[in-house]
Amino acid sequence: MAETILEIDNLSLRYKTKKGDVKALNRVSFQLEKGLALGLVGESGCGKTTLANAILRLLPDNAEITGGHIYFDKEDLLLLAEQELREYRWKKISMIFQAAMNALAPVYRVGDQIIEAIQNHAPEFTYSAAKERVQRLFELVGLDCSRIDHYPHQYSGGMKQRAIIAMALACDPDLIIADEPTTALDVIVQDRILKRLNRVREELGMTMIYISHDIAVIAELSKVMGVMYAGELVEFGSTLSLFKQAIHPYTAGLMNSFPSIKGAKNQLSIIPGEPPNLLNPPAGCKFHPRCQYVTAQCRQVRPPLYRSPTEQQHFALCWHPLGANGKENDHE
Amino acid sequence: MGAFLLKRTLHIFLILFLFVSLTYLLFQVTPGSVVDKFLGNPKMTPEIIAKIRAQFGLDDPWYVQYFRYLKNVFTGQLGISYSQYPTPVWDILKDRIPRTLVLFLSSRVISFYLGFILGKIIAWKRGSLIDTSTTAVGITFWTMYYPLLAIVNIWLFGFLLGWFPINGFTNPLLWLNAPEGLTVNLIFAYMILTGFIFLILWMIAWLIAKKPELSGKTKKRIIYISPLMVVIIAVLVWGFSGYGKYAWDIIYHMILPIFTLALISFGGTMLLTRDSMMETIQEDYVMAARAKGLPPKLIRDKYAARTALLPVVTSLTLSLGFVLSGGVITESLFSWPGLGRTLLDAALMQDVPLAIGAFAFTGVFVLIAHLVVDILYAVLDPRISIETI
Repeated sequence: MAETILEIDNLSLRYKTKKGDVKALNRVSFQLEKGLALGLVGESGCGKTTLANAILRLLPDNAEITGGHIYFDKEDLLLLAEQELREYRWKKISMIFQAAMNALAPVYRVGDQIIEAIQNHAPEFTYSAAKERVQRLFELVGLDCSRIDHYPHQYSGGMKQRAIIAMALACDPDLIIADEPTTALDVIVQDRILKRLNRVREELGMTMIYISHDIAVIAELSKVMGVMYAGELVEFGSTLSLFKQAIHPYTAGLMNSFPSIKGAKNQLSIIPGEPPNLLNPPAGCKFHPRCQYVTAQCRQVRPPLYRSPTEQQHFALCWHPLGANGKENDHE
Repeated sequence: MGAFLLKRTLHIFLILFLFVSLTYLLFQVTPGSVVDKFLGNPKMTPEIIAKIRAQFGLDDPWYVQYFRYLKNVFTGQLGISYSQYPTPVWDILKDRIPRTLVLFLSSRVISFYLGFILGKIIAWKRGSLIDTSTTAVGITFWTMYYPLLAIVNIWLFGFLLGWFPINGFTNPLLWLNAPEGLTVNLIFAYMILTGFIFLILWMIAWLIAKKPELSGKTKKRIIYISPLMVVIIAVLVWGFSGYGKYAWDIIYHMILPIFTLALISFGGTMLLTRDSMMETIQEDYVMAARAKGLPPKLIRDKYAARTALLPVVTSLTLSLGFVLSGGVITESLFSWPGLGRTLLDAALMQDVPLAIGAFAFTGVFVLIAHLVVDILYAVLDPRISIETI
């Protein structure tokens, strides 16, 4: 087994609001091996972005981590002082932001914003050396080098996205967190950028976390995937194993709600109901109000970890795991 | 850029024409005239008054007077003051204008700078004790009745503590013994020149420091040390020239009014900056800057505060229009011989040429200030280009 680069252990987080606490993350645990791409899927508001931001502790003022650990290279990031954490930011862990459109400050040249990141972590880089590096990064992500001295408003959406990717690569990070990197783009540009991103990742051997609500994108890009629901990581395992045999009914439901080009024409199924309000989440299994297999147990007690019999790394939080005890997975 | 300036200059002339016309007509419809003050004077026979009216052209129909005035104004003739006959209006204005401008521009710059710095600090530490207490102090001064604050300051600093002179522009006793040919205006003109040289040198330093090749430390050195050097040199030159005490006398009289003006208005800028920052702090690029691992101060100044600056500059521009109206109160309270008091006196005496002259200057000043700020906008925000304004 390869070296573990990131380990999230029982992480819980809440946002304090006037109406009460929003329990955005609840005892999330997983391990990520070096060099792998992890995909995190889930509906809007399920805590994917919170999880991503928590890793770099880029949280709003009202967020409070109530428990757990985030180990990066065996170092607990939550114990580091702000000053020490700055060494990790961008140099070891960088991000591709959800709203890439706005992640570049409008009043500075795009090139200078990337150079700033380089010089901040490697002061030995002179301005011109850093600029050369930016040129190489631009070539890598497929941007014209003459664009370095342009301002963000002179870029198109796809170009901004590429620039953001170039910026994320600037300091050769070990881990890149891509939070919905292409949601704002049209499908064709999205596809091109994702392919490019994936190729760059493979070439440089970086670990990556993709966050998306689009299960098709995740399936294509990542080897491991996690499914989040209402602040919990309900299922985690290799993408192959998950698609072969989803354990959690929610994962199965997610997969059924996406059309497939190949195979027979199936009616798309939808998951009834809506995600719970995290101000007041349901007791027991968070998915129970929408689950067709619900029993009294589900309503009261948090489900235990169930490991797939075929793959040890594949686990889910469920009382009634699909594929177990002769229960059929209704996914195709 | 050339076309832009040409277009704007034409605009300025057009607006100025409307402004002068409206002001002129306003004075025309005001009841009474300059000769009314002679009514109670038995020596002024109706014949003499009629003669004065004829001499000033007051018997012509209003539109004849109006066109005559317009022609004069746009050929650079502001006329002769009625109340200080026979001094030309321009001679009065040219003494008064620099005093008012120095007083108000320096207080505006100080309050703007102070407000912006404080605003960005309290926005960064939002919710803390510093934030709430500074906000409370800012609001208190901002909402205070201005003449009251001025009187309290005069009483406290001028009378009770005796730190500053209570009013006036100079100390007459000092200037009584001044060498032949040394006038207040001459010294003041040299002081303005010194300030101007300082500004130009500082701007050059900024332009040099803007080069991206320089490291942050060198930039700071250029921006902060170079003006300090200029200030030291200027102080030395003034000191050795022997005129330093006269210059200091003027500055000494300026401190209290500038302090009072800055105190009343910094709160507005501070609260606006704070609000504006609260918005930019939420922006994704500020989070991106944090993710990049940049030092917090750099994120605050370079990312959050930099974009928050734009609405603050707008409010500064708009506030320039009130320079004169605030001037009437300040200059009366501090016995400051500036434009505001001139305007007040002229209006009370029905001295129409002087009053319109003062108004027209304010108009020109505000219009040019707007032009400068429009250009500044294009410099501050690359999304705005001169051509699109």
